[in-house]
Amino acid sequence: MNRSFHWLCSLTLLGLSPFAQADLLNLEDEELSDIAGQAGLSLDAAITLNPNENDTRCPGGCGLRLAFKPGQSAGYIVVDNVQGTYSFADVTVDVVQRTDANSEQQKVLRLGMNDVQTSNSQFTLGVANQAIPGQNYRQSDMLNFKTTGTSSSSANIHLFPFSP
Amino acid sequence: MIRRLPLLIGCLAMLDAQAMQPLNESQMREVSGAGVGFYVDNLMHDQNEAVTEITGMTDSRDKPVTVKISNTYIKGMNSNRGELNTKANIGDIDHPFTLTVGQPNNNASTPPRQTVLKVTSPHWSDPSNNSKLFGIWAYYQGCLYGETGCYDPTIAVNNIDNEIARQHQERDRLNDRYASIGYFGLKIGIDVDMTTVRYRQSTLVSRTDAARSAYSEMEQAYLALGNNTVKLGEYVSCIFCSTEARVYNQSINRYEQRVTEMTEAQKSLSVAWNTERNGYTLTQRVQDYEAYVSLCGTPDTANGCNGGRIESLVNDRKVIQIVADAMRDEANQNKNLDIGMETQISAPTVLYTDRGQVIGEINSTTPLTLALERVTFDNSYINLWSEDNKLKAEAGLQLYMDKMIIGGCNNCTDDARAVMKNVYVDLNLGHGVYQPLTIETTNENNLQMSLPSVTWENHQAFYENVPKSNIAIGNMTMSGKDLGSQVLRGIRIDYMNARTHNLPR
Repeated sequence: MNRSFHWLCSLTLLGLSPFAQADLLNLEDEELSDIAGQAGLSLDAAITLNPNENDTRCPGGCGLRLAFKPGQSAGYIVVDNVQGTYSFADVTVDVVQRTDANSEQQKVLRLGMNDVQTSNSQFTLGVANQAIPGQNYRQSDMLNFKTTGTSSSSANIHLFPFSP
Repeated sequence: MIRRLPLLIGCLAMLDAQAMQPLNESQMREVSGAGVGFYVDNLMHDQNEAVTEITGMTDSRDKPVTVKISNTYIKGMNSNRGELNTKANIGDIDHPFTLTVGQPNNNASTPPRQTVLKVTSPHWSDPSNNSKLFGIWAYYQGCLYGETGCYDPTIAVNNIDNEIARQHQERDRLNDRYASIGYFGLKIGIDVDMTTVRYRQSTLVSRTDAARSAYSEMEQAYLALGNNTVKLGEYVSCIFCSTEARVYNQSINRYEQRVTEMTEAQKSLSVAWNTERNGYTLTQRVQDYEAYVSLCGTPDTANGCNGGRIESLVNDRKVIQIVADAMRDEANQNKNLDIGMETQISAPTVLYTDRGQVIGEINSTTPLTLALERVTFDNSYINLWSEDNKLKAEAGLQLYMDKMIIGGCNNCTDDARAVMKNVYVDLNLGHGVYQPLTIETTNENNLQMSLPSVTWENHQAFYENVPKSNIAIGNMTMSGKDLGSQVLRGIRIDYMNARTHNLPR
């Protein structure tokens, strides 16, 4: 996540570089505050996780692998061989005003996912002795989930700072 | 440019972030407890034509079991079991999910001096949305509010009034029975008679032991005899008896004597239980006293009824009245999720002849369908922390739903399914101080979840604090047959150690 954001930023800054300086100098604080809260950001994205054929642990190559270590346990809980296409059409990021029970206006970050399609996704839930398979690596697969076809979802997630 | 602006600002913020100074400890303490709140609207998930296959499980004979999941949906209410694309809302700005990291402040159940990651679901306190309060009302209401014959929210009030009246009747019957002596008098009589019972009980125990050891002596003597013409317990008839035969015959005498003594002890114990006072046997009086304690709590000098089941019914009645009033005023309700799925479970089945011989194996497929209508989550939580270098957790799930339908057939109507209405589920696992749930992976690459057992040192606090689980169903029909209301109350796990078992690949 962080790395992809870095990458996205480098690319954005690179793309803007011929005229970036002039633009940056011209924008004053007040101007910035005038613009804030308007149209927001809208984007389309599709992520396909393909198997890495060099990784011969899985037939046809393995997909993405995530490993978690619960405390100082002996091994890792792994979500292994994640594959599939996840497409996000018409994703909006916006800041909206909401009125709470005390009639106070609160700014809320709204992440709108209007059309999420998941195609042919799969993953394996298991327990392994190493996060990255190396020497003496052992893994027990618990459950394999494999979906054939496309399922669709939508959701608006509203985020705001919260103190108990 | 404007569309790119937020990204640009984000990037500039990041450039700035690299120059951030680390927070010192006192500053950290100030931010402790802050977190993120979120809620979701416009929520919809439809599996469409896609099929998910779950593999990796085996049955008790290590044969593979496959589960196929299809037609999964999460939608808004009135989705007609997922056919319509209705949208759901979960929570709002005043009732958000929260994700916080910090010291536990209000929740006494989380362990002290630990940093806890807490996730909580929306929580409502108003009577028509608080799932616990609403669940009590719905259980006594029985029928699903708004369906034919169920337009009156005070049905629940009448039902609990009838229940209270029944319990009062039972209490009055007991009061009349012991009016002359009162419950203190009854208790004193029981205590006196129980002294005899306890004495005779210990006599019976020692005589039973004596009979048991006489039996094993007889058995040994029988083995030493080595004579198969008589059965164990039958005398050997002989004129010039061998030593073994004499010892064996004497052991039968002794055994029979001990059995007679044991039977006498049983009889005299039974006589003690039948001791009459105030016209009732001791058995009856003990039963009555216990019935009274469960109805009214331990009796006080005034023979008042200030505890027990009657008091909890009276408290429930107050809740039911409040909810009924809110329902009559058409209070806004948040239960608006429809959830469903269809599964096909394939497992090998062994075929036997009527003599129990295996004649073959077929792969049988069993359908299992689940539909939940108008579900709401309320006051659920999961707390995670680290202790003794292990991941610890405590979790609670509270939900209420109008209907839960479980079916074992694909193309059938609800008449052939189990239909549960007014379902309140309150499941709790673990407790921060007395029973933390430990999640770990083992050396054998298995996932293990365990709950420590209650100990003698903590049993009192354990039973007072560790939350129980409850399930209440207002009305249940199975294949069209009405089974009435069902309740599972006070389930608590005293010890758990669950571990996956698998072969390394």
